[in-house]
Amino acid sequence: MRKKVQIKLKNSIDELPTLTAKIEELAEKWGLSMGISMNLNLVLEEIFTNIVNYGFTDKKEHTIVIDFIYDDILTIKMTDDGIAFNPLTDARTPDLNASVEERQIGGLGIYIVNEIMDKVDYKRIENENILILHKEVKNENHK
Amino acid sequence: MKITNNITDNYKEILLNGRLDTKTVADCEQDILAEIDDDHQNFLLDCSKISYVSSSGLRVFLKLQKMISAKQHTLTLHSMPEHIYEIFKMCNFTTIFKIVDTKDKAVAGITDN
Repeated sequence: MRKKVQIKLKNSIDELPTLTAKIEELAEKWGLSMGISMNLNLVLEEIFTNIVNYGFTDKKEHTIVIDFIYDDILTIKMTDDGIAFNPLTDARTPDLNASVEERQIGGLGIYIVNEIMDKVDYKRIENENILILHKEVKNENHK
Repeated sequence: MKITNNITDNYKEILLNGRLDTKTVADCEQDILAEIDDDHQNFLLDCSKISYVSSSGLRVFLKLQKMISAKQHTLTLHSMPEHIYEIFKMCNFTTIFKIVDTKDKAVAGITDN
């Protein structure tokens, strides 16, 4: 049976604990392993942080919508109404004063996302950024 | 994130307890880096109570290592939980840091120098 949950977060780093709690709650409810739960937390933290830091140029409060859908494959859809911004490629403004190591670190978050997820897609539709992530996961509860 | 330390004649051990995510790192990064002082040559980092580390946390580790190298000190990470070690491995950080299983091995590694 297809399971679906949606949460809405403000564009602020202070929302991270709420995001973490939601992922843990879903993992338990849907029988996902602790490893998967932690990997999801990593992926979503990276993307959410990039959207918050780079996706908006006004100082206003915005809403980031995250849809979790589980049907053998776990699909996560992140939608925001910020500037045209792909958190997988547009994540950081190059810091020309950064050392080689610092610049390598800058790409770490994106690397983590690509390592963990099976498939990631970005599109811009009208005034929204839509990021869709897929991962095949096993249900540990055998329900 | 709670930071404590214990000091012996041979080393200073830093203990981190909690999550190292973007939010907690923003709050405590300076405190962590301040633990690397000039009173000691050898540093241990007890990782057993680190529950989570994201790229923000990895950045702090990297900064620690850079400080250590610049001062020609040593830093040994020990007792890392399996899932934390997996993240280090995923990001190829296991080659950048000296990581051992237990505190005993970490201490032995210092006295061998």
